[in-house]
Amino acid sequence: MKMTIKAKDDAALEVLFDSARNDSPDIAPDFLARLAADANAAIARQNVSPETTATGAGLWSKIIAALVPASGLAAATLAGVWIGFQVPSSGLTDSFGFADDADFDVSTFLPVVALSGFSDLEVDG
Amino acid sequence: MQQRTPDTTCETAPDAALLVAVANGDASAARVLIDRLAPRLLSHATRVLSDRAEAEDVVQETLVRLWKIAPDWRQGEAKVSTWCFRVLVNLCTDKLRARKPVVDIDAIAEPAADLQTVVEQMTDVARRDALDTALSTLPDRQRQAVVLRHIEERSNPEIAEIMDIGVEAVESLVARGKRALGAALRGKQAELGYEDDH
Repeated sequence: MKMTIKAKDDAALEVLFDSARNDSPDIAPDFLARLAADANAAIARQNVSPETTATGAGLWSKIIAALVPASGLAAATLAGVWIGFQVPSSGLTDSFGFADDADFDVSTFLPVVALSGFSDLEVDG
Repeated sequence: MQQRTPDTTCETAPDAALLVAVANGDASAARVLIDRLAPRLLSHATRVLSDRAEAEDVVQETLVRLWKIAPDWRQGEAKVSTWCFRVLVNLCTDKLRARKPVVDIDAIAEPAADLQTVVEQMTDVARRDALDTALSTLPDRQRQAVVLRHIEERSNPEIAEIMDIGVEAVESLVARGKRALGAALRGKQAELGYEDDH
């Protein structure tokens, strides 16, 4: 079947677009330096010195801590306390078994309201 | 700026997380964002404006605005790259409006040859030159929509968000832009000098 003019144009344009997609511009070092200088100036204007703020793992741990209110040891501790209150004195028997060894997330069992209230607690050893 | 040290957390973090880090004073996060965003923004601006110096200016202004908004960035409202393209497109539009009127597409000669055959015979450099020349003949909005869709490979809904128009309007702009490009390329074939480019 013969291609229509439009189909041929589309095919031709796709060849041109593909060529353009593979052509990323070279960025001059002095242009990159200008962009970086702008960023530093903006950071300085925000009253935060790049040299004195936390960097690397320190800063990222702060960001992660901000995004995940209760994690790790704190979550495990809260889980233990909550289970202690909720499970009958007969212990973890039939009513609290995981017969099929399926993976589970303990946070599923934690009440949301309780978590938010503990988000700022420090864990002392 | 400080010498960048390898930071795998920073290199693999999403754009929005990097912006939070910038707002917290992390210059290395800013540098990673620059490395990610600047080439794509510069590519678009250069194609749309056909002027490298002006393109660098609008990219620089876009990123200055990004740093400025970083402390107030609201997670989940928009992708950082979409926000940047939106600012960039508006800045490019302002630059284009300040220039002389665009070429009247109707004034371009009627198609003279099979475009597909011609393009297949061209070198990569000739193809890029021909495309850039033909793009420069399109009305501003069509040009931006075509570049976003077919070179930056953005989705129609994202282009709609960037250009602040509906998805149907994007589809229309892209379709008309492609038709005009085809006509421009075929009409200007001799002028572009790629008839004999084997």
